[in-house]
Amino acid sequence: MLEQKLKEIWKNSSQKEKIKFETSRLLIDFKSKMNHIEKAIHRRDRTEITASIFGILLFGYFSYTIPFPVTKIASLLGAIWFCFVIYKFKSSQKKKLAEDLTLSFREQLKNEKAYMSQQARLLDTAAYWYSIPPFIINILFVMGLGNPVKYGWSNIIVDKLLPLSPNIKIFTLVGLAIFYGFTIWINKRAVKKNLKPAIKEIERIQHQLEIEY
Amino acid sequence: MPNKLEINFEYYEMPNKLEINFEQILEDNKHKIYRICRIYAVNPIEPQDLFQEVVFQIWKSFPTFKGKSGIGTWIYRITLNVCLRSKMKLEKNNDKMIRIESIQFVEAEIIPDKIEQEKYQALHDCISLLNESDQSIVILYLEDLPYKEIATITGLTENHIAVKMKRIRKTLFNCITNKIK
Repeated sequence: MLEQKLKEIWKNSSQKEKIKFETSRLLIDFKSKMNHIEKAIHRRDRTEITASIFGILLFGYFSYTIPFPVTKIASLLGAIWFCFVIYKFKSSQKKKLAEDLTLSFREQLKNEKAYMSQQARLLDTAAYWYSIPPFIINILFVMGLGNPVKYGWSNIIVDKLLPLSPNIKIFTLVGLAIFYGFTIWINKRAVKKNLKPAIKEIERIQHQLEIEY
Repeated sequence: MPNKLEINFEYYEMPNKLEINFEQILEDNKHKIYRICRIYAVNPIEPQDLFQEVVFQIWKSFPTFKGKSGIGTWIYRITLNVCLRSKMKLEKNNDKMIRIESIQFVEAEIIPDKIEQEKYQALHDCISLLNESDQSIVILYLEDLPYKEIATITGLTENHIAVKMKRIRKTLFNCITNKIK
């Protein structure tokens, strides 16, 4: 009796508001919303990839023009590292496509957790692939910069900037250490503040779903 | 729950009929989607915003519908998944919550009487006291779905649902009886 009454109350609850679809505009609105979302994603992707391509070209140019052997090697490594960043970014994007809202509630939670855990791993290990390698490359690059006169290398910029004094080299490296330290901190913070709580929340609901009583 | 729209999926790949079909599916299912959205919408997200997001996701996923399950089951799955994602705040992208002007919410001419509204509020409050997993099961139960279909939507076994429902029903009835005296 009560059961039937509750179902009635439940079903009548949506009669309070009338939902109207302006059918001639609905699909146009959906397509425009889709375009808006896709444009935002493409804009973000373009920025990341353009910055990496710029890095490849710049370090490629350095490796070609700079005569100091250690700095030359560092520039080559820098260009390779930017290629690796593009690869990492692209492979992470591919995994994002796994989102499927038509799965069962339980499967969707499992998928969501796998995706979040993968993102957390990516950010948590950012120090090893996003911060420490370029920092080492930068140390090599800066420490390798010698006296251009010894190599017969001369142009307006080089004559003005080089050779660097040991103090300037140390100052530059400290600045870079602070910058890369900050990138590690910001990634760890994102894991701690956003991803870990989300994973915990998913696990909590998974647990609720699994227990029988 | 048989759905007359299932027979229309032979038109699945024909663009014009696909549009007609989709609109009809929305028209037939809008109330049940909205009922679920009212339970899951938490401040600052309004049930209307959640409803629009669900409808948008149904439209987006529509080309992947293979007809393996009934359209009703398929819609419940998307609705619950979108609502839960919103409640768990997994969706950080605010771009996804753009208002769609072609979906409008108007107050019904016949407003349900105060007692009915109070009863619904009591039911809403009692459902809100349950945990997220139980909420999803009880919502489907109130939608009058058989355990078999609830199991397909949630991914649990029929037996598991039956055991859970026994406890949820008891909790819900106790709560509602205390509230509507």
